[in-house]
Parts: sequence; structure tokens; C-alpha cells
Amino acid sequence: MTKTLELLTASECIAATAAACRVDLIAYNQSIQEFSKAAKKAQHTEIVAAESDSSACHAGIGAEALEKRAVAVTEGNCQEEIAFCASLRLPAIFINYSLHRCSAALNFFPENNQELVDYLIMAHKIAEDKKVMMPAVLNFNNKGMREAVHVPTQQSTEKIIPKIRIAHRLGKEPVYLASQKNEHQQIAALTNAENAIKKTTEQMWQKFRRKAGFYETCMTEDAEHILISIGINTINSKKAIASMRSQGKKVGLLKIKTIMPFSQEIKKVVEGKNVAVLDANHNVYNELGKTALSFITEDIPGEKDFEEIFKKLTAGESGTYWM
Amino acid sequence: MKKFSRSLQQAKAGLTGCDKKMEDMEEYLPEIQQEKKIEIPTELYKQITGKKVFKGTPNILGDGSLLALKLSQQIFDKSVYVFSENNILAGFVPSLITKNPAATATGMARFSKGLKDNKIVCFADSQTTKATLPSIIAAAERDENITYICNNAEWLPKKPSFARLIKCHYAATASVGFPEDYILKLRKCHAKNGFRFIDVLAPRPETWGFDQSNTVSIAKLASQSKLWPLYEAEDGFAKITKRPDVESVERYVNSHERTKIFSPEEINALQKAADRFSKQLSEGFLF
Repeated sequence: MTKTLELLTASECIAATAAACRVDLIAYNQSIQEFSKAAKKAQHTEIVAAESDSSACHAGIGAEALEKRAVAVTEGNCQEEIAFCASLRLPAIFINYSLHRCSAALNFFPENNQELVDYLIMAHKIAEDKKVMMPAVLNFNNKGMREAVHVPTQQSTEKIIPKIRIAHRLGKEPVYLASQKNEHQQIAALTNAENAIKKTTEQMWQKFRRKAGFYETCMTEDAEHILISIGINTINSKKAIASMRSQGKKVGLLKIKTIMPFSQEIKKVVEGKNVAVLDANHNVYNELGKTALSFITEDIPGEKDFEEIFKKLTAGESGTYWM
Repeated sequence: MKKFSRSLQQAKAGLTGCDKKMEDMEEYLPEIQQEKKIEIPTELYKQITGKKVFKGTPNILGDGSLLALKLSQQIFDKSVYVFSENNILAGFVPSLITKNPAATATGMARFSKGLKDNKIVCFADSQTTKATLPSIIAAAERDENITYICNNAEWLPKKPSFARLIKCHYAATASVGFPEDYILKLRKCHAKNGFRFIDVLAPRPETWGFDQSNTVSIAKLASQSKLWPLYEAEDGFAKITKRPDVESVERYVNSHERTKIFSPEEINALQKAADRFSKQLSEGFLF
């Protein structure tokens, strides 16, 4: 079977895959100007141009309450709304154009546009699982990057994603939906999500021959020092590690694709090795390795930044550094 | 008028005293009640939990917002409600409670054809409408198929109503003191499509500082003194719907403790502004 590739930006990818996944409503923040053009790609879907992040999220939540599939595209100021959606146990999907992550939902970190397409399909399948029923967040910082992408057709996604079913939906019987303190149920749902992710990765591999999962390794087997990165930062860090290997230094890379659920297999990769972490927020993974080195970045790091990182890594330093 | 502060025992005994003032309302009510009766699904709740359900709310005696909700349920009884936070009656109808009711309703309104009544109602506090005004204005610009009812329990004589701020197909003010007028406006909303807005004055005895039996009479005084004129604006043209007997602003201001702050000069200014606005409305202009 031949795959047709298209040159698409990130926001065009979202609109095209949403149409393939039979999404009923897309709500986006008006200040994301690229999406207003890209939304034309999603035919047969209702589109809401909201005036802020929070109202875009709320529009998605409202549609989910009536058993309709919804995607909300935001700029990242929506922590409260996602936590509210998680307490309602509605499987809405949020696209977060920033690296500020949310704690109360499934979190995915795609690296490029192709992974964005794959994880958007996977997110529907995982979030709408009966044992999960939680919102999912796709964190992706790069809006404008145009790449060659394979977007699957509607017929091929129908076998992966079934019809949406929400037991506690509004409309038929007098149901009362309000935010509740059900954190224990949410944690149980997130642990159930591990099995759901494993299943869907197998399905995606059989259908499209593309790998997805919890993490990805690069030359870690014989490495003494390991760099952990997340999301788009890996594009530059892969180049940096290749150049370090050519100099004869034993360096490896670990790319984390999902947190919440965070798989315990990552510990085996990192045990007894020096670790440095590239991240936007304060991180938890420091405790994994021998030494604790973390770099907090707001922008994508360049070549000079990596020189500093590897100097400190090979010297065996520890601490947190702002870049 | 009785004093505002009194003990709990007196308040419980005062329950029987409510009936005298409710007589004013009952002139209008029996006609409507014959047509439709409110049926709260108490049996379903009993089956699930095995507990009794108390109709009404013992916590807030004489609150106008509950009256506004019950009157709206007579007409929008089969439609889905979106409440702002801290609403007590939310459990009896299919409802969702959010911080931003106008935005959640936009997501629902696109798929309202599958519902029983095809209607979605927002019922929100004045506090949340003030906080989420930009999202309400944006929903009105998009012309979503929503009726937005604001129970205004925070209004002061200096401020205009929210109906004057929001531009949509149908915007109106109403009052708990004149339920006939309010119900007629609700019926108009039920028949129409697009964004429609009602701002209901619902006095609250706890914060305003008056006796629990006087909610209706104080709501009446507010529109009798022309401070809260009852009007509706259809496609930009304003029209006064109810012209009650005129009272002075001074009488309304001295009727409860919240508005006793104003000096006599300020009261004069309020009287002039109220007369000017009612004259403007009778000519058909909102702005």
C-alpha cells in the first residue's frame, strides 16, 4: 500500500486528523491566527472561534457532556479547565501550544508533526477507553514548522477508534454534573491507561508501521552519561549527541513521550548512570540517575548550550541551571 | 418594616409571616399553574439513594434568585440548564455547573437538535456574569442559540443593567416583583432563535439588609422608582413593557440598609438620571 505524503504545518495536521477521527467540534483560541486558516481542512465539523483559552476549553467540555467528540486548541493558559474536565471524567482532548504542562490529565509530548498526527489518533482511543475516561493533552510548541506528513483516511481510523460512548451524558435523564474531589479515581484511571497505551501502540504498528509508546532510546546501551529530553528539544539534542559520539565520548539520549502515566521501565535504562535533564519546568526525573543535573529552558536550546551541558555532565556536577 | 437583625428562632417563626406578602404574587400565578405544573423527579432520587427530598431551600429564606429560577422552569422545563457555581436547585434538572456558563453553552448549542426541547439555558449569578462578560459578548457576536438568564443580586442604583451592555437580538430586564412581565419575556425567548439575554432583579435579604418577607415588595419598589425600568430591546429598538405606579427614589433608597449610604444630593442626581433614562427609553433608544 502506498502512502501519500503532504506538506503540512502543525495546525493543518490537527485539522486534517480531526476530520479523519470524526471529531464533532473544534474550539480554538482566536489569537492563534494560523489555525483560523487551517480550520478549513476540517470539513463536516463545527468550529468555534473563542476569544480566550479558557472559553475554548469550556466549549469543548460542553460538547463532551452531550456525547460529542471535541478538540480544544489553546495557548497553554488552561490548567484549571483541564483539571475541571478531569474531575467531570470527560474525554476531551486539548492541544497545548506551549511547554507548560498540566498535571491532571494524560500528557503526550510529540517531537514532530508526524508524531502529532499519530498521538492525536491514539489520544482519542486511550481517553475514551471505559477504564480510563480522562482528558488528554498534547504538548507541542512549534506551530509554523512545515513537514512531510502522512495523514490516514477516515476508513483506516474507523477500525482503531470506535463510536464515542459516555455513560453519564446530559440530555436523557436528570443528571447533575459538577466538579468533584475524585482524585483517587483519577489516579486509578491513569494507572489503567498504561495498558491502553500498550494496546494502541501495537494496533498503530500493525496498521501504519509507526512506533509510539512511553519512551525512545538512542545509543544508551553502552553510554555512561545520558541526556533526557522531552518534546521538540530532541531535534537539536540528537544532532549534538551524534557529534559527541564522533569525538569518542560515551553519551546517549532518552526521549520521554508520555508522562502521566509514567512507565517504570525508564528506570532500567537509566540505572547507575549520570543524568542531565532538559525541561521547561522543574522536573522529577533527577532521582532516577546517580547525579542530579537539570537545565530549565524556555526556548529550544542551540549548539552553544549543548557544549555547556556536556561539559557539566562529563565533569559529574549536580544542581539546577537556568538557561 | 421590621428590623433586619433578629435571632434564628424568630426567623423560623417568621416562615408563617411570608404568606401575607406572597398574596401580591398569587394574582398572576394561578393561570399559569393550570397550564403546566412543575414536576421535580423526586422518585428517581429516592430509588437511587433511599433518601427524602426537600422541596425548596431552608438555607436561604426569601431569596429572589430561587423565585427567578422556578418561574423560568415553568417554561424551560424540558431544556438543559447550565449553572454558575453554588446553585442549590441544580440537581433537579439535567444540568452542568461551570465557572464560565456562556462558553460551555456554546459547545452544547451546536448539538442541541438531538435534545428534547432543542433549548439550552444559562442561569448565572451577577458575579459570574461580571467576571465572564467578554465570553458572553463573544457568544452574542457569534449568535449562538442560547438563552442567558442573569439573576442580579448585586445591583446598585448607580450601575446600569447588563442588558444595556450586551448587543444581541433580544435583551431585556425583568424583576421578581412583576412575574407576569417576566414570564411573558421568557415565552418570547422560548419562541426565538439566536442569543437572548434576560437580566432579572432578585433581591437577597441577607446582603441587602431587609426582612425576608419583603423581597417582592422591594423588587417592585426598584422599578416603581424608575431605577430598574422594565424594558426589552429587539434588534436595537427599545420598548418599555411595564409602567407601574411611580414612587420616589428616596423611598426605595430608605427601604433597606444597603442603599442608605447615599447623601440627599446624590439621591437628587439619581432621580434626574432615572427620569432621563426612562424618557430616552420611551422614545425607543437604548444608548
